[in-house]
Amino acid sequence: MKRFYISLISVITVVSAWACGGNPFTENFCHWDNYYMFSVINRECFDTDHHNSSTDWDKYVGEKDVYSEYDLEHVDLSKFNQSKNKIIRTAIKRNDTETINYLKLIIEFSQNCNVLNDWDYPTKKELAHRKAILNRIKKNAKVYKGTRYRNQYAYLVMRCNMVLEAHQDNVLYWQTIASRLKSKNFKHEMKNIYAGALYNTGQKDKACDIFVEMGDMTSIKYCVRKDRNLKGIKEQYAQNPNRPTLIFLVQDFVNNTQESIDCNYDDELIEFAEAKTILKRESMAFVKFAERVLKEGKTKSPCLWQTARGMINYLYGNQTDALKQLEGAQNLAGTQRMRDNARACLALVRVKSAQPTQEFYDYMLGELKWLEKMSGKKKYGESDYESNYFTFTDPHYQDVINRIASQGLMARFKEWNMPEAALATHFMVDSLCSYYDMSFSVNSAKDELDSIPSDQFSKFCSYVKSDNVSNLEQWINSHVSGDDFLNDYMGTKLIREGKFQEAIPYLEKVPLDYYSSQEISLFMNQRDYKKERWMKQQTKQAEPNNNWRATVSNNDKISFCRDIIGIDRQIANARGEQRLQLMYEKASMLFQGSYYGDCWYISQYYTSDCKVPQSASILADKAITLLKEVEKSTTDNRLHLKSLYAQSYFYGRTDGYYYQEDWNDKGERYSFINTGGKHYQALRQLNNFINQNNLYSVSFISKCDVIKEFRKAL
Amino acid sequence: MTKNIIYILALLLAITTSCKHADKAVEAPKPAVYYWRTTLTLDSVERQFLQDHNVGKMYVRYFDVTLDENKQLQPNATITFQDSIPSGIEIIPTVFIVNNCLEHGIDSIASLLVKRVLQMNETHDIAGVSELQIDCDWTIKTQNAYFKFLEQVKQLLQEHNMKLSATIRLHQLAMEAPPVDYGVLMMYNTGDLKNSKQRNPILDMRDVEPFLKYVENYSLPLCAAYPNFSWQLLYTGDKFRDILYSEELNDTSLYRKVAENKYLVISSIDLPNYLSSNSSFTYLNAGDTVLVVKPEANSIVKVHDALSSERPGINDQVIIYSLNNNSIINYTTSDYEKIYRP
Repeated sequence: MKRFYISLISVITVVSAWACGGNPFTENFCHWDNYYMFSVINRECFDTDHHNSSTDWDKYVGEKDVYSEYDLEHVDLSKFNQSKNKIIRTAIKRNDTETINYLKLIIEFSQNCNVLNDWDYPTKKELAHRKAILNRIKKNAKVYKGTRYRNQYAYLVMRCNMVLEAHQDNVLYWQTIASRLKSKNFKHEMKNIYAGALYNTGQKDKACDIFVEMGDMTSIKYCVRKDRNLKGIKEQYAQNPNRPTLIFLVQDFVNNTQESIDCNYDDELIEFAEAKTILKRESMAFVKFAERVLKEGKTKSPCLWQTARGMINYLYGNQTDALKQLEGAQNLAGTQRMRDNARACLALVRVKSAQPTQEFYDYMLGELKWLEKMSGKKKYGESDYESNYFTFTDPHYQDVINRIASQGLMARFKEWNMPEAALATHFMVDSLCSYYDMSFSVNSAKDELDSIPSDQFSKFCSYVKSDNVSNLEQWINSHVSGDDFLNDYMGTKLIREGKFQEAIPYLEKVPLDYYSSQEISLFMNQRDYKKERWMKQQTKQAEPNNNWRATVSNNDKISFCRDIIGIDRQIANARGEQRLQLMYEKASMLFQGSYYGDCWYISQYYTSDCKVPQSASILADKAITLLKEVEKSTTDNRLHLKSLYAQSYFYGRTDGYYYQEDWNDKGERYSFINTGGKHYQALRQLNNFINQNNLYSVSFISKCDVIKEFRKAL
Repeated sequence: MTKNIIYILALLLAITTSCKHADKAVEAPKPAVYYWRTTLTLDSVERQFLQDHNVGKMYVRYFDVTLDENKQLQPNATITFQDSIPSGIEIIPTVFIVNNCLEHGIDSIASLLVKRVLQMNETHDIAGVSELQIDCDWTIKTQNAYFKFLEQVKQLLQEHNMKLSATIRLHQLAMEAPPVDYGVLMMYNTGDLKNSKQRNPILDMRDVEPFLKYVENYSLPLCAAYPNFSWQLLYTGDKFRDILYSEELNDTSLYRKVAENKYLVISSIDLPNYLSSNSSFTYLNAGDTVLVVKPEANSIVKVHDALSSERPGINDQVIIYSLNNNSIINYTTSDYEKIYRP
């Protein structure tokens, strides 16, 4: 059975599609932190107001996940009493005639509502029969006199009408019966069908107003697709200054302006087309129109218009006007959401011209706490897995925190020479706005952290632990993960920079439990940095029951530091070939512990094919320097061979393969040998050495596919 | 005497040529159109078009065959008939099969498909149907399954004295011909949307040329289908993003015309996307461009003539894709006359 909650699109478009509605995306396409600020329509309400049938049936049966539309649709009604469906079995067991009758009717409906896409296309007679069945279901549903399934039956009537395209009947049914039902169950769904019926009976404006009230963004945008500009706003206002559709159009106008300005393209075409001038002209004309609306006094929501006017002024840098207007908006009439919207917008504008005063800190702290409360962040569930994830009652306020912090507060802190506060604010954003537990995940703040050297990080650690900061900063700092995180991060950063001795004291403070709670624990338990990467790759085996974490019994990071310090001592005391052998071993360990090695978790928190961090090369460079020295000085052919072999592997990994593919102007793929590349040069040197010393039979050389292919390509 | 011999030779030559021509062309050719919407309803512009061009055949998409979430082959987007077809026009039911269906037991639905088409004809009183067309973008990988399926369909249709035709895309010309009575060479969607700033992705002679050599000796009788539609293609920089659905590009608060057929997005906006299953909205950002692509009438005629030169008779029957008031207005009556001429 299809989902019978449908928005306008499914009813009226040429393409058959069952839309779920809702507007999940409010993120601006141009920048990650460009969330829409203006929200007077709760974009979540359309989805959250759904009545959840599954919960009803779970309660009825006393078990979880008993409801499946597909299963019910495939129940053979002639063998209803023998059905194994849990809901049916429960109803029969309880001799619950009321539920049995209802189930039979909805099953019959589901089997007859969408026959046109079955393989067995109906005959004319069957079509007529189907129509008769739907009319009978409708009739039976209408005569239900009970209270328990009253709303369900009403919903069934409206669905029958919809399938029968009896839109006028649905208009009447909603107005006279369904809208008056006391229970809320399925009323949201019925109202949505009613709005679709209005649209289909030529009452587009009424329909659209309802879609706005319901937050059905897809349907609204379809309905008003030709009015999403100032001209449309003016026309709608002229018809009725208090139409709900106007609320959407104003919100849409402000957010689209914000997004257009955020995009900030500066190419010749924009200049040539005078696009920014046109956009500004239209936006300023909107501001004037909003002033007119406010002056005329016909609107019941002056708060909406005043906030819109203030936001547009803010977007165009008219800070004084924006502040004045948004402060004024707080006291104007409008819905609670409109006033909340004005308050959130004002916070963004105030941050822009803020000074580091106690008054501002107090204000900002109050607003951030309010926004956190409004976003309603809570754990997704109680299980070990679910408790790492979060949901938001109103994700709009999560977006607002994001924008205020990333486009206001962080910039101000930097201006006020408070870089640590700016970085801590970044952590706060990740912590307040993320859908998953930030303690264990890579996030944008940690990314920023990666880019600063250890001495700056040390300052940051002292800063976040300090009590000698403002109340706002203290609250922000409370969102930076705890001591274990900071110590591990500092130690790891020092390893990355090759400061092994300095890293140990930090890492020693981190309990093993901390690592066991992270996904790198799987790698830590299974990999060995003493094995040469170029000889064999180490793979990660899944833990039993597909666990994504494991209990760690040794801190590999500390062992790595100690081993490197130890081998350094040995190198200092060794001479000749023994020294070179130790240098080779150190190079191998350094490479394994680097970004490119199997044990990357020693110096990194993640690896990515898309983005290689700047610091990736520090350990790897140390490794290649050692390998080159070994190759240059050794008289041992085998060590010489291994150091050349290691170098060719190294460059293949860090500088790209010698054999490359690209697209030509015709869009065709072609391959070529990059003879100027470091990988090619290293392989060539290796191959010459193999040939000169007749070493091809050495096991790791003769088994190597890359060398085999390279020799063929020469 | 010599004169008589020359006449006889000329006559023989003419007979030979015409026989060869007849083998290669479609039987009982008529000006034709594709109808590719989910509801059959004709407005006055569309009816007038049918009348003006003496359209005798309508290839009507009845339904698609797609994979459902359980990887089962399923009819989808079945047409609903809400209007009558003008008398004298023959209907050719057409079924579009999504290529990935061919890897999921397509042969198992041959009889279901034929039965369904026949039942749709009967239920909606569509009489005189003597042919079924299958449209599918098959590849070398799926060819065997597809051909086996077509053979089954053809056999089933024979029981009802019906023929089977199939669409042929340009790249398919280089492959073995499918087991059908004739093919419709699709002369649209010939290019690459990602490369549409250089070439017209709907129809470009440069994309057609490499395949012309296969046309003459293609083993099936062929007719040709030409486009009358246009596309609004959305780009961010040089990157193709999406096809827009009949967007009002003359809204000067949102778009600015910067060149012939090129519009700059001035104000960001998200548009409901009815054609994509991936996202409910298409995001247009300030600075994006919209390119309106439509093959010039003379480009279509040029391709038309090139095909005729390679294979006389291929244009004996021309099908316009598609009958739609939005598209009809893209060309003049005289353009259509040129495209429809054999």
